[in-house]
Amino acid sequence: MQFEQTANCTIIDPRAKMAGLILFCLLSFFLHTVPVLLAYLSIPIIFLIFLKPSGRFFTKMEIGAGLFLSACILLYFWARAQCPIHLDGIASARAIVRVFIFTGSGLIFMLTTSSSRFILGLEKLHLPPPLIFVLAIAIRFFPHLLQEMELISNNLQGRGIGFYQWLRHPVYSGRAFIFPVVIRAIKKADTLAMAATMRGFGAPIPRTCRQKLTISTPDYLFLISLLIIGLIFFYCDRYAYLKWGM
Amino acid sequence: MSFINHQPLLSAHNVSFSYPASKNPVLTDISLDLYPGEILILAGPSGSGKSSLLYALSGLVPRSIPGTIRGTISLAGKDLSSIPNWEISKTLSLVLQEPEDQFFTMQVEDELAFGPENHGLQDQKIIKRTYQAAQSTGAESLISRPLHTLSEGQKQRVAIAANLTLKPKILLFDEPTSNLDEHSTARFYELIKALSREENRAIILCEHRLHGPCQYADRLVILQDGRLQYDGSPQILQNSSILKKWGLREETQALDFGSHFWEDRIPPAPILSLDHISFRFGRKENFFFTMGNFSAEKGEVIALFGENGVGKTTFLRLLAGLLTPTEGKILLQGEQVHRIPKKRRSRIVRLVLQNTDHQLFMPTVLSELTFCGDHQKALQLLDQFNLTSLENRHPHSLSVGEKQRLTIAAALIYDPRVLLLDEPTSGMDGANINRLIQVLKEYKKQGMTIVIASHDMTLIRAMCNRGIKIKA
Repeated sequence: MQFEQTANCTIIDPRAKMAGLILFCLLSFFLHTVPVLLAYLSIPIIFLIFLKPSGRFFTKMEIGAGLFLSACILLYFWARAQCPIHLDGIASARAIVRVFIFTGSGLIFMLTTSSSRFILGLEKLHLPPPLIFVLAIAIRFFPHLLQEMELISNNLQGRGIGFYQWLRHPVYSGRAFIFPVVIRAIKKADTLAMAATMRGFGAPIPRTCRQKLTISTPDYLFLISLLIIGLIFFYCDRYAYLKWGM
Repeated sequence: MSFINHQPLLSAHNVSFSYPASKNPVLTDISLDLYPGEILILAGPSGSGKSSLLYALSGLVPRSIPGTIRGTISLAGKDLSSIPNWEISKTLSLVLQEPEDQFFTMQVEDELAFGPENHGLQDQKIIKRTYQAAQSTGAESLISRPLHTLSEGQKQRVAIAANLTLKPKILLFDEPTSNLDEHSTARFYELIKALSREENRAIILCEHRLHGPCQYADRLVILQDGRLQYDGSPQILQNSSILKKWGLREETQALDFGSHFWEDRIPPAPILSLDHISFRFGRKENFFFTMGNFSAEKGEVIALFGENGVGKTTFLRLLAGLLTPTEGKILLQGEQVHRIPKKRRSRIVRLVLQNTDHQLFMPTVLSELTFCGDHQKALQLLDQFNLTSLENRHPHSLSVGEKQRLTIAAALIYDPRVLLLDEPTSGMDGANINRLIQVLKEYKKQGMTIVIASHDMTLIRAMCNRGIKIKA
């Protein structure tokens, strides 16, 4: 039941990873055909399968994401089958796939970046300290939140609020789930912020780091390969658009 | 040891503090001096203001925790309110109750280096301090390990080491042993004594379990309703009437594992039984749990022991049907427990876990009990657990001890045949432990089977017929 980092990827500089993340997400806006977008989404999915964070809640999330994605594919085929083609349906399917692309690539970033290197990377980008503080807590906090959600969901099941109760009383069950999640999230973030403050985080002196960050060949190769992948998909997208439409 | 010839390192004078939403102050006119090399125990019943005093002394209020504070606190002769937090951290460190909640990184080494890095120390100094702190706390062997693979005791050591890297003169601990087993607790106190001697450090331990730390302490401070009731020698705890007067925990000797109490016995008509089960968390996880045989009959109260991380909670979750054994069967009234439909199972077997925040779902204390239960029964339970005056409060605004009582009450409202309790008294004071014992005894008489995983010998001695020790 751990959602901690499954791989501490130190080869790629966190700044290069951040740039790659932004580039990867931005490129998805240049892709318009849903099948190509789905193929593009398969890249973060393959990475996530490789990283595979364990945990039952993660499995539940995977099942939920799979169902949602299947519904999105059905929506796409339904919209295409309409005469004339249902453009709003296709646009919705496209938007949903893009959300999955952002979530998947963001998740990869969080699972493969250590907090110290992330903070150092942000500092090298000369971001303001309060923003670094918030982002650093967020990256540390996200795996914890998933763990908390799993525990709360298990306890709710223990109180007899299972799948059927969720279906029969979604508002009541949802409220019972959200309450402790929000409260735990606030408490955990507060404690983490307090602990960081007590250890000098936010001191008005330049922060040092044992690990050194330098943009090197693997980082350039990483960004160039992402760009090449993007261009291939862009070409495929144009081709698919001309041949089959949206 | 006499400290009065020294200048106090930390000094509070007539400190009063109240939270924004509260009408009554949580601390009233507290005056306290802490001298170099002194170990001070801060005790008091649940909700007496111990943690709030620690937050006030560490400068977190009102900067990180909002509220109104009056009086003066000085750190090494300087007014605390005029010192920025990052400068305070050079002299004073606060180790919070849950070690995991305060970890900022994923690796032990990164965690230890985090403080010195924030203070802009040079690489060599960071490495030196990291290893020194790990050595002082006995965490050298853990330095290359990911934090999530550590046991509770190991996490506690890393949390202390992470604070020691800044070489503080004062260390404050908020209930540091509440999640530790007896062995880890004893090691922790030895460590505290060594840390105090090492650099003449002053230490404040906020504790519920008093007899262990008081052997090492120089001074005892007792708070009640936010007021200082006693400030003097820990010897006073030898008088049990004093403990009762202030609602503190009484001393209980460790149990003899060779006595009749521990004799393995198979009851003739067990309500709950298992035979040679094993369990593994997924394929990747190393954690593996096995158990020979176990059975419990109606009205029996069974204690579950073992060091931190041996699988007590996993065993309780298996008994509750929340996990499915990889091999073997767990039978509850003749049925495999994990195959009983969830709704029916939740009325037969109830599990109360240690972390109460995950088990409170409703906006008021009363609705938490009426959530799935009868109103009259809810009122009766509130009365039994002394929670009636809090019925309209938000459950998450209660103290740890109050939340623990509420989660147990929420389990009892179902009248389950089997009640499983995981460290039910970790945040409770003496008076509330006695109250819980009385309530559980009533349910035991009615035939409820109770399994308790706990390090609290007072509860176990008072309640349990049998005990099981789980070994690593």
